[in-house]
Amino acid sequence: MGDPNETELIARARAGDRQAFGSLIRLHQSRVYACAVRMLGNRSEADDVAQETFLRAFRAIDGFDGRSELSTWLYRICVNLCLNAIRSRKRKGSEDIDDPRIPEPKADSESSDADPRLALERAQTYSRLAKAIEALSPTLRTTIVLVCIEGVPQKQVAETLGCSEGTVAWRVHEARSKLREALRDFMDGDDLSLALAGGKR
Amino acid sequence: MTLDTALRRRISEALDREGGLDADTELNNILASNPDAQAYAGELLALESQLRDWPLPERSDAEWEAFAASIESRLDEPLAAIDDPTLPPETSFEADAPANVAVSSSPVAMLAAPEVRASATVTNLASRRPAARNKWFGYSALAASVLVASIAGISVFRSGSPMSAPSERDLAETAQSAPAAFEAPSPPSFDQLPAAAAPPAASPLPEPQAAARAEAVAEAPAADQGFALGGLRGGAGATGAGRMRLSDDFDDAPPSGPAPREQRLGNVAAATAQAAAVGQAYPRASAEGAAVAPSVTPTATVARAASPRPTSVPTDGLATEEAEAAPSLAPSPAPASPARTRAERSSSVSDSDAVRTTSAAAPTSLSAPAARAVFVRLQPQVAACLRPSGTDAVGVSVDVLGATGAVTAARISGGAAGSSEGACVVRVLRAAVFPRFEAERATFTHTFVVATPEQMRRQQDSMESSF
Repeated sequence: MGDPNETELIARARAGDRQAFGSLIRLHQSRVYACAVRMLGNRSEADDVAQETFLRAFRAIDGFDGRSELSTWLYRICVNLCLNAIRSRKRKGSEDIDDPRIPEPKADSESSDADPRLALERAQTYSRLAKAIEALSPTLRTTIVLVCIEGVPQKQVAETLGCSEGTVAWRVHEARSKLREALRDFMDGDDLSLALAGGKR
Repeated sequence: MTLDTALRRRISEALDREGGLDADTELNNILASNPDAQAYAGELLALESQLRDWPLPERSDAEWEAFAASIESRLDEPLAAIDDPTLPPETSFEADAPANVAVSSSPVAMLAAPEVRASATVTNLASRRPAARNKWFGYSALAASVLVASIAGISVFRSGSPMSAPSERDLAETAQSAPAAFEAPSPPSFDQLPAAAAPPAASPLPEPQAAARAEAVAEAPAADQGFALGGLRGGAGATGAGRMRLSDDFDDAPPSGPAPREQRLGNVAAATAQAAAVGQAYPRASAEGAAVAPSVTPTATVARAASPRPTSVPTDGLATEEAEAAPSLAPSPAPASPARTRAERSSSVSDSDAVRTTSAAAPTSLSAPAARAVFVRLQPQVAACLRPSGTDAVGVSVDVLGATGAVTAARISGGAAGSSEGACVVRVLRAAVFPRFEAERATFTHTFVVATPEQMRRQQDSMESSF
């Protein structure tokens, strides 16, 4: 269970205290939004999903029994809504190419992106990674996003996805394998380690 | 590189343990003696590092505060009915499930699989389709069953294909045997949708207006109907009206039979030449309402469900509706197609339904001409984006917020999708502002066609030679 302050906020929110729920929103909105952006690769869809996550959480907060972290519960709602959005997008058969996951080079001369060549390489690497992640199945995508990108512990991811830790570990292994293969295709035989490290040289 | 799967998995799992690869001495010894494994571990490490350091666009505190405030203001908003999102996501039907998870379309087998038991719901078993590969296997099995049955003279449908969908009885039994926690939630229905999401019912156009529009349609040359402007590809591609108008040429024909070939050629040639002669043919066509049909998705869906289908003479769309409103204004004679199939007719009826509901949009929603006008204004910028790549058409779809008219999402399809030219188009679309309307939001689609006069002349030639 989380810190006492959060426990108290949850109890107040369950009693209908909107202000307490507002505080919970402010505590968790960045990670929920990040999860949605990573999953969807679309700013507006991620905004919608992140907002809907909290709206649905507000309606279902009575059902949150506190046995897991609130963040786990919110991740679960968010992942479900993301998967719905992905299914819906497949039906529409269209894509948004304005991907917020691909970093734009900064004009700041003090940043590491000051070298335009390195900044471009970095953007290309992340663009390829984003495409490779999108090619994964929803299950593997969800797992890799939560474990490897968001850094959520595997135990918590197992609770979120309703499976065992062993299954999560298997999925991480499988997703890494597939990402590596996909990136090797992009690199056309170049040294993958060097290419991946290229953006950070 | 050929590496044992177990070793790969061991390397991957070691990465996630505290201390990483260095903590596993035995594995380190293996890596030291196996260059392939070492290379694999190096690549995974680099990949892992890249994933962990993946930045996201930062938001300022003010932006986060505004985001939270926006959620707080929506707390009482009605939400669409969906499966309970607080349950674990359903993943058991995916092809890449781990080896210890049964992937099967049989509901009983699925509930028996330990990994699945925790997440499967009866609703999902009933509604979800088998994985694609299973589907094709099912089709193959069905085809084989038909062949065998026709030879043996037995009923096909008693052959018991292993991929057949679960019957109602199966599902009922599964529901009874499933634990209470897996009780199927009631499926979402239209009745459960929030009242605010349902737009007012479509109403017919006022009679004078309908008569005027029917006259315009009757007198419009083919060029104004999206036919000659971008050629067959541009006129018909992704624009409901474009398709409908093409079929109008056949549906609105007098029953006396097909027009002479010369007349058809003359109509097309004249129309194409007219379009090619006018530099701003596309904006003109769009402004006159022929080339594009922005569709307000929710309106079209609900209104179509509410309005009864005509039971006789399924002639198409807008022209038909308007002709009924003003019977004295007959549509222009157009060549009839004796080979028109039932499927084509059915397809054009669907298109016409969408156009009819759009044309009779409620005053609270943005009208098609108003949306079209915005797209027309964007045409030069979109053309400038696409010109370098030589792409001649792009289909777009934008989500517009009613309160502000701002574009909240822009999507493109076609050859430009995924390219820098496509990104340019998306930027143009996202910067656009539509007139405000009362509905919460709406989606508009449009096809921008960027063709040179030379391309149009070539298309005209090819069309003439095909008649």
